[in-house]
Amino acid sequence: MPKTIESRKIKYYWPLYLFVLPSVFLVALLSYYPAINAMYHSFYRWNGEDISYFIGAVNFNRLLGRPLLWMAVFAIFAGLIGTARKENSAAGRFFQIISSIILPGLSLVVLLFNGAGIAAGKVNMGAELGLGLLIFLIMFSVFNFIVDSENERKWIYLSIPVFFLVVSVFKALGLDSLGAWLLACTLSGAALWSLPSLDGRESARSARVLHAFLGTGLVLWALGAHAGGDRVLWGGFYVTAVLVAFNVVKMVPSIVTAVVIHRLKSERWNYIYKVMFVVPMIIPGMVYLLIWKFFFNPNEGIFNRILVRTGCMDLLVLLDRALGWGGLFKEGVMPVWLGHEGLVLPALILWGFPWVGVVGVLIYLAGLQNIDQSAYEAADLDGANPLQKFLYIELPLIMNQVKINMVLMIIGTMQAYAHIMILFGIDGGPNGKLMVPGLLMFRSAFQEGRAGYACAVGLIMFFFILALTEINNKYLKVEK
Amino acid sequence: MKRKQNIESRISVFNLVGLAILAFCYIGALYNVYRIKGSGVVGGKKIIRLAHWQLELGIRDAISELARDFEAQNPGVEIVQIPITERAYAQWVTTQLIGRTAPDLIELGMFNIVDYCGRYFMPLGEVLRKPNPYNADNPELKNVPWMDTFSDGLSGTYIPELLDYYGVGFSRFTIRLFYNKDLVAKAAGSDRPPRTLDELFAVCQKVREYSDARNAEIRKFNEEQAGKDGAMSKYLPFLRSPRKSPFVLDPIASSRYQVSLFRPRYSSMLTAGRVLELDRNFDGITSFDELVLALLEGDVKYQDEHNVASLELMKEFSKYFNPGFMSIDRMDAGFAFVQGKAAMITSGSWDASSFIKKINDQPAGDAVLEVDGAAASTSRDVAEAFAKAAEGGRKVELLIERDGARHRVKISPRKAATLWESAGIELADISDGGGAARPVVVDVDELSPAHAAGVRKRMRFDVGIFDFPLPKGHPVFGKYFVGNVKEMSGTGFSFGVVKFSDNPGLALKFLQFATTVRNNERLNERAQWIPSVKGAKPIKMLEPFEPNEEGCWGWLNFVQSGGRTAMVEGQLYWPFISGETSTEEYLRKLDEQLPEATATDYDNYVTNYIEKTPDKNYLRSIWLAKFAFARDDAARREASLKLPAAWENYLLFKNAYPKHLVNMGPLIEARPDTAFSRDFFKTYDAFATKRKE
Amino acid sequence: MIFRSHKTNSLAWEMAKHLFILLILSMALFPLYVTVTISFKTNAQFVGSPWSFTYPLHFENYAIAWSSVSKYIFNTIFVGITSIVFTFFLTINAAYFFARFKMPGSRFLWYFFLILMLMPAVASLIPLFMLLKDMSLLNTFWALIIVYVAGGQVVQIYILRNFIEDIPGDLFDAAEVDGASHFQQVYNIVLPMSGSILSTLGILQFIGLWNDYILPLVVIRDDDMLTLAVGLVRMDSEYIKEWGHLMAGYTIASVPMILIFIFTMRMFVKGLSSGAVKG
Repeated sequence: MPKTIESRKIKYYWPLYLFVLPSVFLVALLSYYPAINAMYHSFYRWNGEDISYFIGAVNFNRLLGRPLLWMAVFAIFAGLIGTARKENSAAGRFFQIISSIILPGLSLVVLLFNGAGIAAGKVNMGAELGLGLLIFLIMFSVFNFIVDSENERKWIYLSIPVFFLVVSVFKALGLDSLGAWLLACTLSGAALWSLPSLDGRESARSARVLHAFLGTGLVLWALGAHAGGDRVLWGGFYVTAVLVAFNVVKMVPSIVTAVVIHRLKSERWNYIYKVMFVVPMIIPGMVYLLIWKFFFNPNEGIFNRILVRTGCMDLLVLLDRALGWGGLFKEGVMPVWLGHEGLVLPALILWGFPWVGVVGVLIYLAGLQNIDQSAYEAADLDGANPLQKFLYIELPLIMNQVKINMVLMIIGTMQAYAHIMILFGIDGGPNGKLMVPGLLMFRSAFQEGRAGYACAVGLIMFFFILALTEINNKYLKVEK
Repeated sequence: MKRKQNIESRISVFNLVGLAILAFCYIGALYNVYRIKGSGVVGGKKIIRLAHWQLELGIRDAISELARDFEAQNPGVEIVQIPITERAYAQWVTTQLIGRTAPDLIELGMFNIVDYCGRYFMPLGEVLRKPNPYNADNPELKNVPWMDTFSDGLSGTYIPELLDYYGVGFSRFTIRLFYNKDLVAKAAGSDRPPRTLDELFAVCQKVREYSDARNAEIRKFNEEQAGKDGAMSKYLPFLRSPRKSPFVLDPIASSRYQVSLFRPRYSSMLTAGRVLELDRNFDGITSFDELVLALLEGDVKYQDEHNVASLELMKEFSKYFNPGFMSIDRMDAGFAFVQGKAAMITSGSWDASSFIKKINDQPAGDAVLEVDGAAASTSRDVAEAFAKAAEGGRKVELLIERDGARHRVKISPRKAATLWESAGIELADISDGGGAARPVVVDVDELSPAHAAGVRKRMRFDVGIFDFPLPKGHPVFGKYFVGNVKEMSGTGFSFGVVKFSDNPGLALKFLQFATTVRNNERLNERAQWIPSVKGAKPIKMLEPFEPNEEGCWGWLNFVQSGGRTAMVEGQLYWPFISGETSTEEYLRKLDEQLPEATATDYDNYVTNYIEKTPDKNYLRSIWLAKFAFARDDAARREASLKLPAAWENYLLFKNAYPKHLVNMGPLIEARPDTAFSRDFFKTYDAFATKRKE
Repeated sequence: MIFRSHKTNSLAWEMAKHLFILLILSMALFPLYVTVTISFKTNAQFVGSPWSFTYPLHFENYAIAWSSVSKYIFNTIFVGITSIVFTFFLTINAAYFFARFKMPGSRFLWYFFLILMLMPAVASLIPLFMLLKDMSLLNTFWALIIVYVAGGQVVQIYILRNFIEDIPGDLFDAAEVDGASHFQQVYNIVLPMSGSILSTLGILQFIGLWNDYILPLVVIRDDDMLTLAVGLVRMDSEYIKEWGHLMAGYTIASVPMILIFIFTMRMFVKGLSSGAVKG
């Protein structure tokens, strides 16, 4: 227990401060000072060393387009977070209605008025509807299977596939992605708030909160794409969003593998596999990345050869023709994964297959080891099948760890740019397709010499990450 | 429990061993660090650092050799070479310059030369006007200013915006075509390089036909094999009977980069005449504003027949490129050429030595020493032995030499007319390294008995170099042909001296040392590049690379480099050159999209001049003051040299806007009634209102 | 964890599980297999057959790769161990302060550190670079060391504080009664007990800086002083790709980590599941 020492006894205990002060000093100098300096310089035109003059908000104007709009949306977002936890407060409801219905609807109207929001070019109705139907069927059946019928929130889970279906219907009707999502969001928000059967239900409340976040996210997307800001930056955020989504999916193999190893009958094999899984972990990430860079080499690399040998290349050529990818995969041509515009994003997502690595499996295994044998026996008595055992016994116990990893992963993905720089070069690949915000910041400062601009980009990233961390703190709090 | 205890104690011993290893490594690391620091300035050595991005073979060794000679002559000096990869060069240099840790000599390029030189590099004009002290023992060059000892007077490194020279170049570079002599001989019958454009296309066509013929054979074979497949093999791929893989051979290996080498050259050959016609102020170049005027007044259109001819010519070329050439990079194209998958490739003289080395790294092929115990001296002997064996139904035993080791292989030939059909090998009599000619396996048929026996084919070949064939006399393009292109290969591979270097004098001395006739010749001989100093001769292999000093220049290029027009045209050109759109469609899209982009770029152009005029005025005033108030003769002399140039520059910028008004005024009033003009002014008016002319 | 044999838990189910794990394992280990096989080949052998081992094995690839990679490894080891030692020194003291005493101002200082956990360090790179330049630390190892030490402070103080709080206070009281000074208390009580957690934290920090690419890229100029991540990327970008040498280099670069893990894996996993997870 910490000993409390009152202020009057300081003169006896002051040497204790010396235990802390070196740390404080170091951190203040090397963490706080640069951060504050960066915020300060984002209002300047700075070339990194001597040229530095104040230009006010010009950097932000160029990056954001209309900073006031952004600040307004962020204010609403802050209000949303602040009031969301409180039960049934009027302020909470106010913010939620604004975020769910009013803002998306307004954005859609503004977009349509300005000529945006409509799909450019011909709309392949059949493909859109087909794809939408496919996603709907898959998600619906999966959710239906996984979620217990007695679960109060089942209707929320089931409405997600319906939402996707509605979006693809709108896309087939001629709206572009953003427009379709905004319209679907507005309509579903109106439904959420007006259907009488939902009033007072606990699940309805959380659904509304979630929906409000969705609405805000969509409005941010709309602002990013159309507020006149730097297209490169918002393209980068879009890429980051895609990466985050896929990284969440990439967490699944580690969890599944850990569970399977855990469920092995023989302890000896359990131990052996545990040791063997350490091997892919301990290869330094940099070496792994460079090995994959070699794999992606179109002529000498292994990836293309494997695809050809296993017949996946033929499958891809077929898909290319069927889905109209425009010749990404042609018969006889080795695709250039790191050089072709359409292929760089898939390459970035695919690298590191099968994505078991860096502490994931071992941590989950360690967590799983604490499960008592009796829980399994009880489950067997109840006649549970393996999937249900997973969902009810194992998943909750490692949920903490999964949440921690997920948050760390999201924050890490938003910041990371070193691996993109190594795989694709400082320009972010062909036509700068993968210029994530971090890379843009690095390039502006260290290649173009626009350090003030770079600091402004950094500041924007900071706000986004801060927002995510806030959400995490409010909603995904870890229970000890 | 007891087992656990043992495990615990095992852990601690384990850990101790681990810690011991860690400590050992740390000591090793400390020693390493000490070694690094020790080789620093301790000991009084002055260190000159030199950074460049030339990672090609030979050049690094060449500079090291030169550096060692310099160090021998100047004890107490050490020269450290820092090669950085191309991709990271700009960022690395910028970071080092900002951090003031930059090397003393930096290769100029990859970054904005004007800005960086002005800020970070020393102007060298003064030193260049004096003779090179290292030439003092050469009676001819004793009193010749250093800059005149270069083959182009060092005009390549003069920066007009800064009115001075900022770099000294060691080599020159030109672009030529490389070709695979063996492949071309096999496909076209002779390995003589094509002289004219028809000959080039004829050779390409023959290469195409050759590869098509091979592929037809393979297809036939595969179809026969497919006939032998059972029903199950449709679902289980590994049950299928073996197929042969397609024979890959393209006439010309290409990539985005290679296209950017072909296009200006051949366009220049066809459109340089038109370009000169549009030059209004007779300064020899058609600048962007002259081009815009010509477009507005209708003097030139995108559909100009010379332009169309050059587009068609490029399209003709692209028929012979490898498929998917836009997405690969130049190294992959080079790789294809080296592997024998393409007959020709274009690249610069800087690639010559690395191509040749890579080709010589390829397998030399199995050399047949003995057949069935009897020594084999020509391929005919071997073929005869195979034929006899096929008759008798026996196997042939060969003693082959591969990579210096000898192996025995047994091949069972089939009954057939040619060696290729019976055993699946092709032989040629080749003498590697000047010895006697031996039969060497130059080709092995997949799935043949020879392939099964593990025989390896030869992948090396002879490389030839030839200049771009001229369209003279070509039935279609001949009438647009203006002349060969003058190669403005100013000195490249040039180094600038950083302002805040610790030893600028020493760095400069090294540059002078490297550009004497003898040293420059030696450097380029070792690097296998072309020297930049007058009188230094390139090696024999590179003689075809000697630049053409006479010819035409400039090509009808409707874009401003780096501007919106470049972006738009680039996006339209790629589908065109890859065969997805036709010439008419490309031109039509240009008509739709380029006028607005041209207006944007033109506005930028004029605004640039307007904004920079005060700077030029400032510069002129400085030199005027320096001239008027010069403290000594040397200062006055320097000012008298710079003042006229500064004044000219100032006038150029000052008069740009009035010139723009004079030229554009009548056009803005009475707009020509062309589609171009309409689109152009739609965007231009928007800018003009912002500027309030 | 032994399952009681269940009626429906057939052999097939077990086989399926084994098969699944083996599949994933082989796919995860495949890149390593490829690396090791290629590291013994020359370029010609590689072109000929990229999949399997080709004989003769070319061990000289390792010799050549060693001459390039060794300096990077040693540099990284130097920077790594020095940083870890300094970090430990600072964080143990600070965590001891926070865990044992509640003095005026300690709350403020605690939040001072906590806020830092929320701040992403992305944008700080540029002013940090300028700061290092003003301190004339560019192109030295100290630049890297002090940045890593500062970066590792926050998380370690947080975890160590929790850990020290769990140590029963009687130990400290007894030591104080015996007349030990604060410093001796730290050294004699905290240090021995925190062996496992320190090794976990140390390994995590080591992994972090072993892979760090951005900071050495901008700070270090001389090739001799580069750390491993930047050095490997430099090696990879060479114009003439000698795959054998490159792969040998990668294999050599993985060895130190393998060694460290072999010796500390148990402690690492134990430390992970106990201390670090709670954070």
